[in-house]
Amino acid sequence: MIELGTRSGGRVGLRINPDAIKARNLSASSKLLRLAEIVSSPQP
Amino acid sequence: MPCRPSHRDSSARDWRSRLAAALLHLTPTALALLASAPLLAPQNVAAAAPVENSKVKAAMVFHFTAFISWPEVAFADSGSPIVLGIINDPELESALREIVRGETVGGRPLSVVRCRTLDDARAAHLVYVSRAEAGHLQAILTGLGERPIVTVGEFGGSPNAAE
Repeated sequence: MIELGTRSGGRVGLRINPDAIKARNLSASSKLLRLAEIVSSPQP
Repeated sequence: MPCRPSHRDSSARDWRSRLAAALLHLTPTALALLASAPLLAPQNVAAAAPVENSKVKAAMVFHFTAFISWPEVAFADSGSPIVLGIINDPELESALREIVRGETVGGRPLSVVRCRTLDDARAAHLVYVSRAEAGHLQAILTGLGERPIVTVGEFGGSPNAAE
């Protein structure tokens, strides 16, 4: 999931879980990943 | 003595009015660039507030289609559109329809659909889940399963982002 939020100052921020993207056979560009905060899936 | 706004206050209000009017008349491309401009550096958004402007959100969703690659099997054929499904956000849906009109990404046109059921969402390539559906997010994610569908939402601080 890609999550949108507004940081202080009104700037829009992103949060992405690359593992979830990959698990769905999708790929996110490195540019998108650079712009986003990366989060991880919970460990089992 | 009556309280009258100073000339300075009046000028500031005029300036804000002119800026708001100008933003309303931005072209979709300019709006998209405006929306992407703040994304120059990663920042912690764990305690983020919701994004209020539907046009900004729509521009962001539009941009995601250029930054995500779907497998060929996700499309019926080479001319099939990238389908953007919107769950329960008519304002964003309307703004997105306007932005994607006539646009293509990777040679594919873009199509915006309103998702009323999970089956509607399963037919999309990107699904935007509105804040109003936060309570159903887990069920929606589970229902979409491992299909090659990007989900987008704005649930600052929610553990669901890690799924």
